[in-house]
Amino acid sequence: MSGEHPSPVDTTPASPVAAARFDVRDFARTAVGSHRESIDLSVFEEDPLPLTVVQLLAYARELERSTMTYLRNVLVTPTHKDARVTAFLTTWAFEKYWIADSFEVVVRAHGVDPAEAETLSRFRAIALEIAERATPIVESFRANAIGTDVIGLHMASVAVDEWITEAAYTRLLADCPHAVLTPLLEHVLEVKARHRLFVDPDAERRLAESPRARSLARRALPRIDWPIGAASLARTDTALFYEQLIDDELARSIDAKAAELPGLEKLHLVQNARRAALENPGHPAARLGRSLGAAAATLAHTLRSTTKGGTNG
Amino acid sequence: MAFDIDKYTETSEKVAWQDLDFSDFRTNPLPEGTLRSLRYMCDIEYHTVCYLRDMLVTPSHKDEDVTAFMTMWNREEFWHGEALAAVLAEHDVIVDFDELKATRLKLGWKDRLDPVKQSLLGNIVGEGFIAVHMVWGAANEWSAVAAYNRLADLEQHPVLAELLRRIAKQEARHVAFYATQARERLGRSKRAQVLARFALKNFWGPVGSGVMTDAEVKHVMGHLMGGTEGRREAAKIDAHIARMPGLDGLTIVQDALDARGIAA
Repeated sequence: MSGEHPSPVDTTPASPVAAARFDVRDFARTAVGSHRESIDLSVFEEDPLPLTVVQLLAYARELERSTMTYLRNVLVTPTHKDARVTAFLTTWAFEKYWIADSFEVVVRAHGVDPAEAETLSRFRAIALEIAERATPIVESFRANAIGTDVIGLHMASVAVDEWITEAAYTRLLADCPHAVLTPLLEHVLEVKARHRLFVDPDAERRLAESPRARSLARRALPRIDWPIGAASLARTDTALFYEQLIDDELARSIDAKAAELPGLEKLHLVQNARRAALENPGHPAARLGRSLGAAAATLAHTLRSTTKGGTNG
Repeated sequence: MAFDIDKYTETSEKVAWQDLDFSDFRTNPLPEGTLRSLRYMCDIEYHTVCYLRDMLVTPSHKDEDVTAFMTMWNREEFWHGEALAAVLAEHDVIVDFDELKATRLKLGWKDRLDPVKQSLLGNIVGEGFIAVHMVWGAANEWSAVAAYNRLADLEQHPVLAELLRRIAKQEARHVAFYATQARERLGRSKRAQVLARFALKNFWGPVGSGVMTDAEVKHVMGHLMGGTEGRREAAKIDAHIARMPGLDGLTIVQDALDARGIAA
């Protein structure tokens, strides 16, 4: 999945005017629910998706489904006090639930159980368990000491996350034209575009207004495993996500967009996340496999070089 | 009876009121005491996200059925808030997000520590705590169903009654989820039963206590659960709770009324 692509990152600068105009109540009223009726599963019998695409959709399903874990860490902070933000997040979680559901339906139609995307090594599962238990407690103490500036960080994290997934889906849309997948992804992108209408200007305004929010975001954003939700998913799947959908150029363009948010210059969030995911795709067994593969390749190369006279090494 | 989570999510919708003639409230306005109770209920529905937060810090957040339910539940309750706000607006009582924010800000330190306390407690006992979360939710939803139906009966206002019955119907589906989950989880674990009994007996309070002032809690309790009829409803909620495994003899709702001096 490579080739020439128009940049899927919308580079229109977020406008503070739009923040004032975004009607949270109207957004809630017109929330988009189940996509099931528009998905004709019988098409997949004739024209199934490639296995890699199915795997990517299973991964995307987990990302979209991780809202409750995200809200868990967000709501213990003063962010939960802002009724406008929570009204938005309520509908946002609802729409993302149904996006996840639509991916799940497609994945299942290919005989794959999406729950299998979560295959963590035992060591990582335990580490994650400890981290998950501690996070809301730590977050609660930390963020309550910081106060409402933390809302700026939370909105910025949703913004960057939306840019990543949106770019990924746009790339998938371009790379894998399909009678059912194409309209589904187009629809999903429309739903997500509306999230950005709230999130982008809100993040920008909150960061612009407060130096503390900016410094908090600068420190905290690089610590997130992008995309949000990746922390509890198999590293091999995250590696596949970056390998197939976010190339270096795309990562760079998302980072450039993040750099336009006040105080977030030169962070390289997505480029770093991409590099980390591709350099360390998985548990020790996978790494061992790769080193063995590399060793075998070197050996083969040496053998070839020897037989050819060894000049082209 | 098993609760079909897929069926629930597929049929989850925002409560409808656009087909009801709200202009009727202009000609037949609701009395002051009823508006006060509606305002209370409206705020509580909007504050559901705060309860969601308290519940998510327990291990429940990883269970797929639970998270699916909570996503829909949180949204349905938000819409109950919107519907009740629309009724209040017809009486020139405007509920806006900034005001709700002010209420939440007033909660102070107690509220800040609650999720931490719950998380520490929840994580120590692990899985068993999900049962507590579920039975707690069931108690609250039973209270909500009773409160909406009771207000509909008391007020006898055709438009209000229809809206409240619609809301109560959705609340009844929430009861079904929580009660099914609670019964299963309590049935499996003696430890969960002991813990649930302890938590309900010592920490449960009427929905909204802790968010609203004591004066408002007392008004709503007296309005909806006072008198012979009201008390009968309270006893019914207690009976539902007492039928849960290991919770026989609990009378938390009636105890809460007694503690606030609500006359029978």
